Amino acid sequence: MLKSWKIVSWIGCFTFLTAATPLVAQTTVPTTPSNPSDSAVATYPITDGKTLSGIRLVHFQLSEEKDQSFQIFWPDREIQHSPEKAGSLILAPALMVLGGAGDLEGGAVEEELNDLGGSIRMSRGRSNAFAEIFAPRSEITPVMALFSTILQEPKLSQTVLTRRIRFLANNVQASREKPENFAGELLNRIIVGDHPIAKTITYDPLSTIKDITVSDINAWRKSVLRRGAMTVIASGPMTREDATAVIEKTFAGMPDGASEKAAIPFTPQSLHKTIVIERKVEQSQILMGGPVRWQSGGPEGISRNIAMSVLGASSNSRLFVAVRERLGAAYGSSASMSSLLGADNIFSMQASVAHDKLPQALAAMQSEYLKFREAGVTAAELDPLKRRIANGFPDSMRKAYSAAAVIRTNLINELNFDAPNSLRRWVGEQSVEQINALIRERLPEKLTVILVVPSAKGIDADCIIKDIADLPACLSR
Amino acid sequence: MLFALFVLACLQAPAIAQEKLITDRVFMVPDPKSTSIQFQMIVLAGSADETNMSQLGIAHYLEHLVLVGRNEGHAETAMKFFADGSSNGSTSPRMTSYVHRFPASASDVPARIDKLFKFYTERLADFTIDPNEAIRERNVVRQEHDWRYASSPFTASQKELSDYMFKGHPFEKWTIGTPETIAAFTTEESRNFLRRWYRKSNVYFIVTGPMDETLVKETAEKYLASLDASPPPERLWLKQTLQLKAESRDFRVSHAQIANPSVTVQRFLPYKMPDILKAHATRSIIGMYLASKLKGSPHSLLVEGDAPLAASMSGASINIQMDGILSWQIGTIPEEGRTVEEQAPALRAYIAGLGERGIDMATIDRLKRRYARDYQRGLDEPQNAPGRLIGWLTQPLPYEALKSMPERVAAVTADDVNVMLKALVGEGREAVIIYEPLKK
Repeated sequence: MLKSWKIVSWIGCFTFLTAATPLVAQTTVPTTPSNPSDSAVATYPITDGKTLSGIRLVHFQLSEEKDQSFQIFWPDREIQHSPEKAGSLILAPALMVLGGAGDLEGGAVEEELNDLGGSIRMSRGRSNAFAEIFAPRSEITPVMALFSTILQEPKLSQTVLTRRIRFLANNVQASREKPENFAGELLNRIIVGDHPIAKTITYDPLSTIKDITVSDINAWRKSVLRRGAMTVIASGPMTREDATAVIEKTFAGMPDGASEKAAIPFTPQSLHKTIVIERKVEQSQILMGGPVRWQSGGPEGISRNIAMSVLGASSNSRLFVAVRERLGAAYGSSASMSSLLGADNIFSMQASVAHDKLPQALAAMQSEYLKFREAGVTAAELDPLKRRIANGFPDSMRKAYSAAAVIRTNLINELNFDAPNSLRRWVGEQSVEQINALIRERLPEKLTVILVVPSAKGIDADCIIKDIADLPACLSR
Repeated sequence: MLFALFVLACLQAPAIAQEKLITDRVFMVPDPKSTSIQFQMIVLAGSADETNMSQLGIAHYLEHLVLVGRNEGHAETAMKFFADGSSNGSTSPRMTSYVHRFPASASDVPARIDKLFKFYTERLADFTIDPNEAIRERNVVRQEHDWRYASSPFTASQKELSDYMFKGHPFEKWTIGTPETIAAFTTEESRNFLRRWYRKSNVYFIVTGPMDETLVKETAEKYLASLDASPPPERLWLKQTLQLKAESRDFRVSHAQIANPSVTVQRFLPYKMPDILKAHATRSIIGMYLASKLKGSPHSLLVEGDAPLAASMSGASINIQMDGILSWQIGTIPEEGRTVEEQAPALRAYIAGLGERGIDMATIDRLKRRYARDYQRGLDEPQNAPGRLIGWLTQPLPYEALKSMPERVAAVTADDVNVMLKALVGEGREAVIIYEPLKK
């Protein structure tokens, strides 16, 4: 069904090469696991090493799986150094995949993938660029060939870019009109301050989107998508040797080296004020938050998961009980941490509540937070959550795609390649004392409170604003 | 030739369903590799089965009450049965569903299965709730309404659209109800709905995971055996159809929360379906084509063609709304410089052109191969089985016919496809939905 002779002939070559040439370097000795005791009882046979040409490959074999996943990441801090090109964070990977490649137009690439049952996705974060390739084992070779063409011969269509710029700029403006999004953006602006990543949240001014050119995206591609610092995670039925062969062929034509721009130090800001946004809304929006430094991976990440679950991530959570069960004031409520840069996050609690129950709901959320920060979690709350995490994890490691995603996230969080083998121990070691010490130490004592209401009347507000432009005056007060 | 034979063999290989009907009304989906057990009860009744219009939304309210209500027999809510797991419910026009998930490694798995069958068996017999909790939950449903619907700029026009397209049919009503009907909810009315529809003959249980089949069977039989086996009332909406005539109406919304302008044409039309499975199989192939970017697809002609009309498709699909009623809808985001007014005539012209030229057999075979592969991929993952089963049973379609779908799709001919495509240009009830950003 492949329409491109170029890809067909390329695959033919590839098959021959695989059979004839040993592609696994002599030096692909798995690195030392993080903990010898975990290694001794390793549930997941994960290996780490470099291919002959020096590409880091972390391999996890799932012999009975029918699908193969390759997930790749590159260091990419370009956006921290060029915030005026923030729109490229979304536009660049979209154009690579949607714009066509080689002699295939955009739609034809997608249809090739549909015939093969595969998918190729690319994205960028504030510190890394990502690619995800997924296909049945029997079709992974042509899908990777297509990915190679996308990387090396993207069409970077001006027509597609022009359309995507329009969509993105319109989406950013329309999103701000949603009260909860507007409140969220406000909290983000307060905490991020004038760090360059602020532009990746606000896209303000819109020239950060509208001025992106094909040349910008091509320059990013050439600067970041290089072999040198690339890490590949292979998960599925392919042996390490077979996966190595595919990787060597796929990335053979890519330039060596790596983008080496450093991270720009980040100091989050705090503001202990109550800000009211006056808008015509069906429900009052409550958003409370502040900066928090808390790792998302490893033992600390498990503590964080447990803490957020107890406070506001299930029907057993403190916020659910206080706001929905006791007051009947809301359908739902939540507490979460969202990543800004590295271990720096925004902690937030939110609920959409009936106007007449705003004072009680706000007081209940504040009271629950204070209690939670002071007394933390209880053993009765901790034990079932430990069971849930320990139980759910093996399910995420049994499918090629999700297992590769888990390993990739671990590596980005600077955990060891075989961290999944340590998870059960990390969960077992979680204790009330240790989690509560983290809660007291890490969660902010005071929070910014943002309310979106039809009228600020009766609310003890530090600032009342109607538009983003009013924020600086509020901050300086 | 060999390739063609291989493809044929693949298409005709019998699909192996993982679910087993282990006793009356109970399916088991073995999944030995999973670390979780999932328990579901599906009630074949939803908002379309409601008869008291002054308390519209009562099926959904009942779902809330079942999950969060405490009563003498249950000091804790079903939402919180398993602190190491999760619980939820959902209601649609056709069904109500309850789901619980917990670790397979729990030391008391048999007791948990027993607890769930006991709880739902009791709900199939009767139901009580503390009055204060019922009032509280009515407020919660109102907040759910405001959160999901009242806050959306699309809701008013979508309600009007639903009223217009399903005029006179129970599907025109919205499952959640309205602020007025929610305020009128009573426990007694929810109990009336439960007594009509929550009965053994009208529910299915699905247990998925690494479970001992005998244990599930024996536990289910222990509780279900005592229940009244009489059939539920006739579902009136199944016999109702739409009275369609040639008509068209515009629905236009301008709002600042709308990012990009879009135009969608939707049409309902009568279509005889003497063999409903064949109609579903043919629809699957056409639906895949419309959503694709293949040569001749909406995307290829309207977005990638010369002088494109659209910057992107906003969707293209074909559906069987009910026995005898086919529908299609196709939408675009206009290309810069093209107007919203240009879109609807071009979309109708596309459908008319497709009806004339049809889809060639090579393309149909290509789509069949994709269907067969995706279907098999779905079968390979036991966790997909409950969703497939529920989607089928709540149509409702007979369970026995489910496993024949791959063969039915493999048997679709160019004639089948082209007859249905020609029918799409037929007259019927049409809506043109236009969304536009409201610039400040």
